[in-house]
Parts: sequence; structure tokens; C-alpha cells
Amino acid sequence: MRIFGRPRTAYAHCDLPCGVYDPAQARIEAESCYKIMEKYKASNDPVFKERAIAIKEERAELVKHHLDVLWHDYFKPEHLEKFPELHEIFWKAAKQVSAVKASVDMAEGQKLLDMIDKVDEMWRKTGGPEKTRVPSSAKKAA
Amino acid sequence: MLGRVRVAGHSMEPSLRHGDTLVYLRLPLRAGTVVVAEDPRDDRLVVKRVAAVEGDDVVLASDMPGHESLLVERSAVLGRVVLRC
Repeated sequence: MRIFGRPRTAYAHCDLPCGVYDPAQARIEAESCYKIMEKYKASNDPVFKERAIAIKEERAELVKHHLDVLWHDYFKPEHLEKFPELHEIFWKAAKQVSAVKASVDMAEGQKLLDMIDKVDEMWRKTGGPEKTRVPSSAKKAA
Repeated sequence: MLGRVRVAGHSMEPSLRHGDTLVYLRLPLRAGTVVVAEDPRDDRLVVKRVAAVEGDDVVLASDMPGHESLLVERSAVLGRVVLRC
């Protein structure tokens, strides 16, 4: 005997209804970290250097946030089937953010940028730009 | 009132997994319990954990870190999850 009909779907995710996800957000913040390291090295001003470290910490935290949102909300189980290394890439990228926080070595900053580019590659190959980007008016008119 | 839903998404892992079927029952609201509620942003249902009950407001949260909280009215909560199958 069937007590219930077909079950409704209850969503266990909180992605914004707009569904706009783009690794460019993470990359811009990671680029900030890289450039801050560069300026830190070029400066002899202790006040500037202190500010640079504080701002790098903030920017790095934003990188982590943007990566987390992509990982949890954009990428779906079918993407994991296509990219079995997906979790490993995100895990290593998040670890690399911590390395960037703890360092002023630009090589660490470059490693993070390269890891975000790997995320970007998966995003592109899963139709990310078509799903989430809004074309400019000029392109729409063309 | 009794109902059944299927979970879509991963924000409630490890407690609930994508594809789980849940049975919910209308029971008194209590912080820490998992509930099925109507999402005020659209006509979908959500499954979340009750983080707090303040008057007519209920704060729902995910088990997995990094997901935003959701504020719903008490009347939007359909029931507490009592069975996972």
C-alpha cells in the first residue's frame, strides 16, 4: 500500500537564486595578494609594510570564500564524474591560500594563481561562462 | 501532518546526503533539529537545521560550513525530519 505520493524535492543548498559563479572573483583577489607581496618587497616603509600584510590577509580570506562558494554551490556531482580530481584541486587551492597568508614569497602567490586557473579550466569545461556570465549590451546587439 | 521529501544538494552533509528520502512530521520547533520548510524566496522546499527560534522567526542553517543561513517565518516550517531512508 502506498501511503505517500511521489516525494517533493527539498533543497539542501543555499546558493543565491541568481546562480552567478565565476572564478574571476577568486583570481582578482589572488592577484591582489601577489601584487601586495611585490609592493611589500619594494618598500622600506614599516607602516606601509604593516598595512600591506593586513590587507593581504583580508584579500586571501576573500579568495578562500570565493573558492568555497564555487566548490559547494557551482560544482555538482556530475562535474565530479568528469573531473575526479576536483576535490583535490580545491583542497590544495584552499591550503595554498593559507600559504599565501603566511608568506611574502611571490612564488607562493603565483602557485595560488595557477591553482585558481585549474579551477577556471574546470569551470569553463562545464559550461560555466555560458551558464553564469551576462553578455555585454554591445555583444547582445552584435 | 506527515510528508515525504527527497534531498537535493550537499549543504546538509554529513547528516543528510543528496538523494536521501526523508519523512517529516509536524512537531514543536526546537533548535538543533532538522526541518523541512518553504523557501520564502521561491516556491521550493528546503531542508535545514534549526539554528534559533525567536518569536515568529526561525533561523535555518546548513550543516556544511560556508553556506548562508536562511530566515523563515514559523508558519513556513512544515515539519521536523523524523526518518531518513
